[in-house]
Formats: sequence, structure tokens, C-alpha cells
Amino acid sequence: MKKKSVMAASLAVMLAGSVFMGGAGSVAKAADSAEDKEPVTLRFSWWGGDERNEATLQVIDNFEKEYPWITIEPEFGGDQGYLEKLSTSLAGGQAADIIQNGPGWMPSFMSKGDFFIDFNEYKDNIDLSGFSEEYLENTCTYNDKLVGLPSGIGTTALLVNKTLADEIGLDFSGDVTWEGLTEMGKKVQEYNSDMYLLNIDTSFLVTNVFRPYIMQITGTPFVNDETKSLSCSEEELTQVLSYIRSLYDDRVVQPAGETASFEGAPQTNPKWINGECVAVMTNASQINNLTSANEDAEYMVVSMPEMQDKEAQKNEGYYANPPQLMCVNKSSEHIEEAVMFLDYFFNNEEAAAILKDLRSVPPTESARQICEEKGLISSLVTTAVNLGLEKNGINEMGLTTDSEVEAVIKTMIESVSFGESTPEEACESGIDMLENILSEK
Amino acid sequence: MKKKTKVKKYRRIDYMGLVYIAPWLLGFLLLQLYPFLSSLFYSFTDYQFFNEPSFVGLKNYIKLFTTDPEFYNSLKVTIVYTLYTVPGKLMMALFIAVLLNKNIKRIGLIRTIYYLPSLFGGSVAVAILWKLLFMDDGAINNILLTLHLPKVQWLGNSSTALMTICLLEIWQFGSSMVMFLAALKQVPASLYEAASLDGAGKVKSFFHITLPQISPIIFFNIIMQTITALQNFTSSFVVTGGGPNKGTYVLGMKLYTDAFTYFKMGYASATSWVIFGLILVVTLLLFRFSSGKVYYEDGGDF
Repeated sequence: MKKKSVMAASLAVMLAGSVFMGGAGSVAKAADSAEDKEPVTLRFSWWGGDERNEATLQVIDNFEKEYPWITIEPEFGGDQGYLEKLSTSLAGGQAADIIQNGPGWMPSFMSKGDFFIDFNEYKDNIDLSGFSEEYLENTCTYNDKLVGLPSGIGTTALLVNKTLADEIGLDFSGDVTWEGLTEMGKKVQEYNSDMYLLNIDTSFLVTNVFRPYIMQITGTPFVNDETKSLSCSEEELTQVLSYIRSLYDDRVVQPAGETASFEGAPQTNPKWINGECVAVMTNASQINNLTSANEDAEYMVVSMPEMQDKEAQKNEGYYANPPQLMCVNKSSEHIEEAVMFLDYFFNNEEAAAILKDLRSVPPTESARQICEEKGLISSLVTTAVNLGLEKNGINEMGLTTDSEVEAVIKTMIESVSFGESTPEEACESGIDMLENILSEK
Repeated sequence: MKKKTKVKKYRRIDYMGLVYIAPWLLGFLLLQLYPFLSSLFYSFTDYQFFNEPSFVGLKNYIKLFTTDPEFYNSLKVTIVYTLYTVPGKLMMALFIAVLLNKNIKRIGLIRTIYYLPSLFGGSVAVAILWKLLFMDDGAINNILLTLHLPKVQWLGNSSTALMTICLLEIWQFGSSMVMFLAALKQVPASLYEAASLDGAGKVKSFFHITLPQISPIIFFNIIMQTITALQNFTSSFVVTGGGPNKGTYVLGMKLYTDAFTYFKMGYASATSWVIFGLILVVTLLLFRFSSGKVYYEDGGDF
């Protein structure tokens, strides 16, 4: 019943908005219902770049006009330190009501406590029909509870500066392979030794090279969550580290020392901005940031690299995963209103048009349609997502994405990329550290 | 026979004093003593942010010293950082203080300008500025290029990155400088006059009169700066994030990461107590080493 009335109300508002007298009509209606409501204030925390922040603020503004008794206090900033702030505030019971969360952090939060509501219990307040059930099940469901809603459909892809690639004579028409990357990288160096094939730093090597490579040779995520042990052998781990070392030795990637100062933000790499890097491995949600960093070039998107020997490859290594999850704090005093906001955030037409692809391709069918009709999603992003959806990788959120495990992977990669240890040495000390960490989980 | 002085007897305890210092007392109890004691308690537990802490004895300390490879790396980085910054900062501060200890026009303004960097001390904004200055395509490298000098990877390799962070700390020499300046003004002019009559040059009087006369302030600055350096966090957190390759991963940074990224509060508390112990030992050693070398006009009684 309640669901119907919410739907009816939002339909009425939408209709009212579309006719000439719409503005006045919707305000009058909202004011009517606002009179008998207690004012509610909600806090919404997220991270993002300028464009995303502005769009999100705009949606909040529109929502507040439609539901005048609800005020939403935005709390936003960069992604640096977000996890620390979130975990401290959750532990202290001070977290925001509506929380943008990282899918990789979720397993760790879920194992530590019960912080987020199960959206299945609030179906009266939010229409979930636009989401793909399978996607919700695979990416946001823990212990049969739907604890988050995907902010979009994220996949990784190779974004290529086509202008530069054509100039050098690189051919991206076939399947890209790890071995092929090395060959192309050498070509780039021959063309101009100040240029590099890949714009990548050590932290993106973890997510975009190390983990998919491991999954391709073993067929499973790096850490087995059941047995709390590594799923690859020492040889396999050495193989990946050797490959990464060869990327540096053959100068396929920019030296680690140069990329250290803009780590985590490849769009700020001067070589990328000046058109001196050919390609970047990126999440679909970052494509707009990367292309706007250098608007002089023409871009194209191709599939992420795989093994040359398809027989040896057990799994394609890539999978679709939301770039962020939207959660509602279980200890919020106004859970229903918070869920209503997310309903607006995901299902309102205007909101969809404002939010566009700023958190990757929208997760709901209707928002995707609206954005496509209005041409709001760049074809690069759509291609990236479509290419990514074809891959059969396994979702690896769990101990593999645990921040301590990630830090060790990064340490191994850094010690080979700075040439301080051989892949064998890095592998040995890495396994030691990982066994220590996993034994405490 | 000593004359007995009559002492005024209080009938009741005078609480007014306590009321006057109440703001400080409250701050001390809540913001210093309570965290101090609770961190000691947590250091013996497996407190992980979201669980009820349970007692694990010395496990955290044992793990820190035996199985955690990062601890020794961080300890090494912290010690190197301290060894660079403390002498560097003191020499810089003393040098500038000597230069500024002159009666020339607008000396007040000049002193203020030199003191300015310290006002920003430890702030995130300055650390970000530092990062931008020393980036690969930053201002410093551009200046080097215009002078036809080779570019330096200031933040790109472990040893230079640590140096860059040390420079940031050394640059904030203002507070030590002000103390040196005050001390220099206290040195009696008659000593210099006597020395110059005996034929001592400027350099000789500096080493034989100035340095011994200001030795208490030098000693004080060494201790204070050593303590600050051993606790460093902001610059490596903001400028380098502990990298590259853990080259600037000081103990403060490790503590923060363990506590807030890995949720291992108990373990991080143990680390903080080890840092406390380290500071205590270093300070005591400095006191030990200083006896006989520092000149106190009043005989050195505290």
C-alpha cells in the first residue's frame, strides 16, 4: 500500500513537473504534505571529483525542493583518507545516515559488525525493480542481506589515446595480450624514448595487472576466503612479479619514481596530459576524468589484456563490479527518509539526467535509458562497460581486497619496480607477510 | 634564635584555585590523561575498533619486535629522519639567529619574515605546497632546468624523498630561531669586549663565548626537536604517503595505518608506547650526555 502511494506521489510530481504550471503545482503539493511532517535532517557522505560533487549537490537540492521537510547535509571530499574517516565514525557511532562505500571495504566491515540496513526490508520506501537482480546478488548481498546499492556498473578497460597510437603505428584492432603490451611498449620507446605505452602507477598495478593476471593463471581470486590462504603457488606469484618487473625493464611503463608523485590519480600525470602516454587501464567511471585531462586527442576503448595462450588461461580475470555502494547507516534515526532519498537518487528521471555517468554507467534500466536517449553517456564509457560485461572473471571482493593484503601486494610490486629485490626475493618475503596477516583474520 | 613567622591558617580548603585552573584541568584529564591511560590498556588487548577489547598480554609487543618486518624499517626511517632534521634545523636556526642578531633598520620585520614558516608548522596546507614544489614537474625542477641543471626526482625515490621531507621540517626553524635569538641577546657584551682585547676574532669568540653561553638553549632545543622528530607524521602522510617503497614510512605513519586503515587499535597502541619508550630513552641519554657540557648560570639546579 505504502509503496503504491509513494509511487503515486512521485508520478504525480513528475506529471506536474512536465506541464506548464508544473513548478507551482509540485511546490504546493509538497508544502501540503510537509505541514504535518516533523523536519528531518540527514547526513550524506561521499567522495568524488568536482563534476560528481556538483551533480550530487544538485540532486540533493532538487530532492529537498520536492520533500521540503527533509534536509540533507552533504559531506564530501577526495577519496584520500575516506576509509579511515568512515571506519572511525562507524566505530564511534557518528557515521552519516547515507554513506557512499567502497565495495572492496565491504567484506571487512561485514565481518566486524552490523552497520548497514538490509534494503530488502525497506521495499516500501524504495523501488528496486530497475536493478538487475543478479548484479545485486553478486555485488551487494552479504549473508542474504542487501546491504548496499550499486552506484553504477563498473568494469575495467584499456583507454587508448588514438591520435598518438596512430602516429606511432600501433594496432589495437586485435585482442590485446600481456605479451603484446610488451611489444607495443618497445615500439613506443623506439618512436620516442620520452614516451611510454602505459600510464600506470604501483597502486593501479595491483588492481589492473596483478590481480587479473593471477586470476587468469589460477582461475580464482588471489586469496581463498574459505581457507584463508593464497590460491596461487610460489612459482605463479613469481611469474606475475617477473612480468611486472619486465614492464619496467622494457620501459613499457613510466619509471615508478616518476609516477610516485601522482599516485592514484593517473589523470594528473603530465605525460598523459601532454599526450606522451598511449594508453591507461581504467575503471569505466574514470574515463571522463582521463579524457578531459587532454581534450586535444581522440580516444578509443579496447578490451583489457589477456594471456596470449588462451589454453593456459583459466579465467578471463575481469568482472563487473560497482565503483561504489550506497549504504544506509543502521543506527540512523531516520532510516526511512534516507531510503527515500536513495529511491530518488536512483529512480528519479531528473536525478538520472544530472548524475549521468559520473559514477559509471547507471545501475538502473530506466536511468540508463534516460541517459542514452539524451546522449549523456559518452560512447567510450558504454563501450568500456559492454566489453567488461563479456568477461567471465570471478568477483574477488573479500580477503583479496583487504587493505592489509593489498598493502603487501603493493610492497612486493614496489620492491621489484624500484629494482630493490628480484621477483623471487619479493615473492618470498611477500608470502611470509601474507601468511602472518591471513593467520590473524 | 630564629624568630617564628606566623603562618596564616586556612579554616577550609580554598577551592578557588582549582576553579581557576579548571579549563586546563579538564582538558588535561579528558584529552591527555584519559587517552594516555586507555592506550596503555589497549596495548595489552586485541582491540580492533569494532570488538570488545580482550586481554592478550604482551602479544602485541612481541609481534612488533619479532614478526613485523615493517617495524624495523619504520624505526630505521624514523631514526634517519631524526638524525637529519635535528642537527639541520638547529644549525639553520642558529645561523639565521646570529645573522638577525644585529641592530639594523627594520630588523623586526626581517625577523618576522623568517619566523613565518614556523607559524604554518605541521599544517597540511604547507605539506601540500611542498609536494607541488618538489613534484617531477614542480617549481624546483623547473628552476633547475632553467639553470641548465639536471632534474632531480625529489619524491620519486626512497632516499631523496626522505631528504625532501627532512627539508620541510628544517625549513620550519622559526621557533628554535626565536629562542636562540633571545639567548644570544643574553650573552654579556663585556665577554666579547674582553675577548677582542685579548685578540680573539669573530669565529673564535663564537665558539668560545657564544656557544658555551647559549648551551642551555641549544640543549633545550635538541631535546624538544628530537621529540618532535620522533613523532613525525604529517609530512610523510601528506607529501609522500609513506612511499615510495616505504622510504618515508616513519613510525607515526605506521601507527596511523595500523590503527585507522587496518583497524588494529591494540597493536597501534603498543607501537605508540614503544615510540614513547624510545623518546624517553633518547631524552635520558641526552641528559646524561649533556652533564658537564651545558653551562648554567645558576649552577644547573632545577
